[in-house]
Amino acid sequence: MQQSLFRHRGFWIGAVIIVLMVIIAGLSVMPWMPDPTIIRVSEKLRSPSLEHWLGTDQLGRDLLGLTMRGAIASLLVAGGAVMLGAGIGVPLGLIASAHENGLSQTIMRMNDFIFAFPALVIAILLHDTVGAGMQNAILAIGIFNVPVFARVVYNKTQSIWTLDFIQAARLIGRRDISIALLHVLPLALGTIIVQITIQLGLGILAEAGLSYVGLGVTPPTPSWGRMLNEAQTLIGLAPRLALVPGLAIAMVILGFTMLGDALSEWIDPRKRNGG
Amino acid sequence: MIILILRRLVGLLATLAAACILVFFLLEILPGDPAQSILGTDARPDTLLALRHEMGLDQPMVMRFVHWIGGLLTGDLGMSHTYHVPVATLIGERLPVSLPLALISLALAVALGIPSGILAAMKRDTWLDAAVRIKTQILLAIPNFWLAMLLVFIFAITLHWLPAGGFSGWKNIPNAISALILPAVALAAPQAAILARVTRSALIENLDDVYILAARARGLSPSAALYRHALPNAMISVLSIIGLQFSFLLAGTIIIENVFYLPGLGRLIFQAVNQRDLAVVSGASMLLIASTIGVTFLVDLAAFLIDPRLRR
Repeated sequence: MQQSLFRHRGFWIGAVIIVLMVIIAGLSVMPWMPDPTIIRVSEKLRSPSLEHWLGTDQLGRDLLGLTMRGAIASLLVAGGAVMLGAGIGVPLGLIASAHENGLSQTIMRMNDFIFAFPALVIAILLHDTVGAGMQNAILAIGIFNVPVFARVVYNKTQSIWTLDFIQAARLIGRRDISIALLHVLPLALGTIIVQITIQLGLGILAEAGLSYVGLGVTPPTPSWGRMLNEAQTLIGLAPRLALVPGLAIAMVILGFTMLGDALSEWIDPRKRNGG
Repeated sequence: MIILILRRLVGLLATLAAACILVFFLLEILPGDPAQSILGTDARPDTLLALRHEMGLDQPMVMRFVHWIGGLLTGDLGMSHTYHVPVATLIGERLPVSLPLALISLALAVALGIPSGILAAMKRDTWLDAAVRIKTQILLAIPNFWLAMLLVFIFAITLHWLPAGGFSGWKNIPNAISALILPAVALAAPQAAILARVTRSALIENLDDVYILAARARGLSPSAALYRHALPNAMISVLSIIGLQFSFLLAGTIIIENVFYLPGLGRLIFQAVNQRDLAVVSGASMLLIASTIGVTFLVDLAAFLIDPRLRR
């Protein structure tokens, strides 16, 4: 029973959260918005007021403005890491699934190998070479994404290559690369989109973690992970400094999870029982 | 069977060797001179030369690699230049914090996650199933270090039930355990959610299989069919996830230890990264990577032993 995607409650909740996040991120850089990175120590730790809806932090920065701007770092890192991971992983998975030979074995072995490196360890090892900052976070999370996409595409497309119409395309002399792009990839697209949604959520989580420990986005760029790090020692004094960015992270990841779940049920109705 | 295990073992060793090479060269291509960065820019040239000699930096790269690998094999991970102690000793001191923490969180995740997964599968498509689903989605969305901060705020700062951080060793066991409770809960929460989801979907996949229909036709009650037939089969895929989670938790302690100021492996790695203590960074990273590879191997082995289908 194919359920319409648009009747799925999770799809709508997830989609609304993510669209809102993108709008908020866009709004935060509009020229009429006050710059949230300006430090005014004289106004530090103010309670919420009409001027500062969520109050100010320990350096007098507007908490609402910082949180809104923090969405940008999250989106850029998670998006960049997904582009890197899918950009390398999807072709690798396609190549590995086309023929069962030494090449495909090697590709999948390499995958398992990279998978043995936790993203955090990758970030630590890259830290000294690349330096802290957005590029370190994108690279570390992106490298972690590569085997994920390769594995998903490989598992999905392996069975497609043996289908009759692919054999027919081979018989009329189509080359592997055009078969892959014209026939195999479109069938795997749904799976890839679901994985993109999931990895975006995981990427935002990972970015927050890396920035929290100082391996990701560096000041003065606002980042939710950094904000949580700075709020930690003040949690008894001003818990809102920790609550607001944490809630922002949790809401956005929830959005991506719900969207991913809804999409995967939609492309594969059997998942209604699984998932 | 034995050939299969041997083949896996060769794969394990090859992966470990490749990981060693990668870690070495990642840290080797660093710009700058580690000796210079230890001594600062205004160091006297002869001091610099002496330190470079002491650290073996004046030898060719291949020699240093051979030396490093030889050290790894004999358990000599080199000297930490900030602590002036062998890296192996440092790690040995820190593991009694990180390892129990990872194990306690894994136990918590299993104890909370698997029963809710079973419950959701048994009551499929009811409000209970939906409740478990929403609970897991929320737990998955909460960063564990944020959860940790909230737990500190509630249970340490407001209620004063548990310590907010720090660890004073295993001599006083009740104190040690109470220091590890909040970090373990924070680490376990998202892992429990993952386990609940995996258990539920693996169970349902098996419940839909014909052999359950056959068991029901023989007169087994639905719950007997579930516990005696579907659950053992579902546990095979759950087991492989638990294996992955252990290595994830060990690496995950890196962040959580920073929230609670626990003197574990994670704090060690971070201080080492900031002080450019490369011997410590490479040694501790290798330990984490090797444990991931090793656990994956053990889980594969266990799956072989449990599941006769894999032995063919």
